[in-house]
Amino acid sequence: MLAGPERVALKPRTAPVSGKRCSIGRATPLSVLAGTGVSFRLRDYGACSLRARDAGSLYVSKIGSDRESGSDGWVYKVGRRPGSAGAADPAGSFGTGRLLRDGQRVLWFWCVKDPADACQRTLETTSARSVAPGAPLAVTVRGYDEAGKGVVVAGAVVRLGAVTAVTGPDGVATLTAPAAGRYRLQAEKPGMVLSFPVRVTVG
Amino acid sequence: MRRIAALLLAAAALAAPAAAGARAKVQVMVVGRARCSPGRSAWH
Repeated sequence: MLAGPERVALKPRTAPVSGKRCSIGRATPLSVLAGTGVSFRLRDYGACSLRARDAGSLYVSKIGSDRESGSDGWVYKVGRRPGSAGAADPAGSFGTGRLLRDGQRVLWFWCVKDPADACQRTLETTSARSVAPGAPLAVTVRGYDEAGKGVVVAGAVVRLGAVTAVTGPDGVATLTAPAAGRYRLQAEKPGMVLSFPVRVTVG
Repeated sequence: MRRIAALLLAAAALAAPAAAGARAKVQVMVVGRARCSPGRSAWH
């Protein structure tokens, strides 16, 4: 993990691009990336400036030490859907004019294209948010493709604190809740992007 | 006096959404190459 999971304020930011400083609109995935503090590099296919409306053609070529390579590189999703516009496009992630809103999830991940030119699926868990100690907790894991369409994922490892279980063919893993407390629930599977953690209260 | 009060109320009404916007936050995660290495068999 290069950054997060964390909550980042939506606010205007700037970034260096080819020796100059460019403004990035407040409610954009690129501003959020800058807000994490992780290092990144941009290329400009337009004419970015100190006006955020000129940032629509900025392209993220490197985050941390991971630089784009061939068809592999950095992409973002808002919720389950990959952005169809530049990460700082003033028209929003999907070109609809809707910018990021409070409480949304932004996922930046290293995309490895498959033979069909699609990125790997991103995982999401669904379960109860509270459970009694020692009780079973059923967790469904789905993987979302580039259309935001999900399928259940078998063979994903689900963790609740130190407790783990693997999903079956129906995408469901059943964990035994540990001692009372608050735990992070997360799923991962090789070849897919791990899920955002969610808080589960045991007690 | 009434006019001043009305102006103050109008200013407060304008400032409230701006303040709420300033507090807006999203959850973000940046997952790098090391956590995204594919086993080709694991696609889809």
